[in-house]
Amino acid sequence: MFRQILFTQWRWGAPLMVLLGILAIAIPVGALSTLPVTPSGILDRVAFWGWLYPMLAVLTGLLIGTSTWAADHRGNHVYALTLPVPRWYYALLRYGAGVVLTVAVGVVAWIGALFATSGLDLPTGLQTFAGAVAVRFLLTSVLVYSVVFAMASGTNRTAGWILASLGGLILAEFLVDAFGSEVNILETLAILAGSAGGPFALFSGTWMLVAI
Amino acid sequence: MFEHIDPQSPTPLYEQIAARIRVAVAAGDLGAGIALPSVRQLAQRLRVNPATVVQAYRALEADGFVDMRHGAGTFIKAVAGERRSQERQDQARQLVRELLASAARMGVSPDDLRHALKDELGAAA
Amino acid sequence: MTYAIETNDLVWSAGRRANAFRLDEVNLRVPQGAMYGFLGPNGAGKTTTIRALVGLLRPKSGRIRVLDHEIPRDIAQALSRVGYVPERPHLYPSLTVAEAIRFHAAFHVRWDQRWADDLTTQFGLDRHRRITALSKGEIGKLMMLLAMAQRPEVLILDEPTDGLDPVVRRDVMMALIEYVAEHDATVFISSHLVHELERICNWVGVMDRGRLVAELPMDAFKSGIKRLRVRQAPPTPGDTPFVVLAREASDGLSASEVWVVRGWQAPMSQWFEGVGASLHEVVDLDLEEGYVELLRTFRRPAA
Repeated sequence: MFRQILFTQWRWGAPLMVLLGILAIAIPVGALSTLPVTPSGILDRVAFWGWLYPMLAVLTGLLIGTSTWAADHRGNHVYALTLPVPRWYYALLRYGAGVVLTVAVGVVAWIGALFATSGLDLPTGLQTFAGAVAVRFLLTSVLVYSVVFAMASGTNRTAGWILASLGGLILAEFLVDAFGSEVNILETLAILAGSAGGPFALFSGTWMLVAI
Repeated sequence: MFEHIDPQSPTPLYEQIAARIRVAVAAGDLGAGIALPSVRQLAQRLRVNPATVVQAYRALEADGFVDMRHGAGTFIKAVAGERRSQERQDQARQLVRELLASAARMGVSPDDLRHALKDELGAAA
Repeated sequence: MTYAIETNDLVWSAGRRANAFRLDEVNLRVPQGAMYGFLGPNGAGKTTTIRALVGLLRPKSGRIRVLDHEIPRDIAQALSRVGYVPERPHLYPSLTVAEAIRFHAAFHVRWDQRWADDLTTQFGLDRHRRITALSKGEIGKLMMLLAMAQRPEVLILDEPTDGLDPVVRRDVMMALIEYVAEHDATVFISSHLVHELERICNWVGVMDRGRLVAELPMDAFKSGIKRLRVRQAPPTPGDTPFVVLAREASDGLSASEVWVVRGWQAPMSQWFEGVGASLHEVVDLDLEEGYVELLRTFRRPAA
């Protein structure tokens, strides 16, 4: 069953994945071809291209996550609902297929990073971090995919709850500000989530292929 | 043989099918030992429920016209001459009953009917 | 005898408003091995009932059992034994015929690949054609193929051949008959093609405005309703041994009425002599006429 689900997922995701794969190779290659001579020049170049990596990871997770249920949604899920498997199991199969595809893009990104960083003539003090960046890419894309998949799997009602909670937070922030308090809710949450222990720690931290 | 099966008729389909086979046996068109089409084949040909064909074959078996041999098929039994002529007489009677009913509906008198019958039978001879 | 499909006081409502469409205490009893024709005008609730049977709709109250599985609690088990063809095709459009078959096969343990291959050839389907490129008739045939190759014990078909050309209809019917002849299956088929149902069904259920208004063996349904041509009919019929569904002045012939009755038997003609009327003719109705007369009686204001 999983094989078939994966096959259908691949079928309608193929052009998308090819595009993501091409970008996953183009970014590191573009960043590291004909490097400047000075270390600071190199770091500047890498930093300049660096923001594209997490963007691509997020994009991968986002696009694959939203495309997972696309075909079922078009048919109003009648086919999936009339197959002799429990709904949760079918959703699990879909989730798994999406993870495989997301990881596939991550592997391509890794290959691209390795290829781009191999045989580089770096001045002393600088190292390549292809492996670290690739792992970060993989985890980020899978995380984003999971969140988007969960939202896409829910009914309109759950999506509404999620948006309402976000709206509530923003409103609370606004009110707190209006009363002149020093507390900054959203920023605190973002810092907590992004710091070492938090779930979104992956987003912060180094995305640089070449660093000290 | 089965061209005029009429699903719209009030006569149940299985009866119509059985009747056709009875007519053929009575006329000698279906001899002893001949195999009838399988249930599946006849049901497909007539586009009727296989259960209907089974019902027809069972009715014929009950009347002694066929033998249903499980797995092998359904075969015409040897039917004695008097039985066949009895069958033909029954069929003639059935036809006449239908004719009389139609005549009554149309208001045709028995006399008119008798005249017409004589003429037509004479012409057919 | 357990029924292949059974509902008890099935109630479902489209919304909370008073005039929302409702399924009103539907009590279906489909015997095992029957070929059950499900009739009813558009909007009567046939598709709604079928969707409840396959677990796409949750009933407001009442019970549904398919092959002794409680729906919707044991829906996955029930669906492994039920072949379903919905009113609107639900296949993934970008797959080819062969891919769609492979996908469906992966989910059904009793899949018969040889039968699927035979039907693919019999139906003249091009394995490498995308579903988006198939004609309406080919999609209809593919849906039937998928439902039958599962080797189900029950087939639930929602207007499988309505709107398809006669050649396709014949191909599909032949395959269905072949399947029923080879396997012990129950077929529940809803359709507007009354004449086709008349050929193959031995049970009839009629829905009208959310209620199941009739359910009986085909022969009984057909022989049960007759049109009588009556002369010198009494102004009020009074006590009749049969049920008078309708009385109409006959077209053209004065002093003669047409009565549509239910529960007629031949000896009842004597009743007419008893009230000074004369029974001129008893007309048999085929399935379509009987069904139309039955529905008309529900629409007529009470006499």
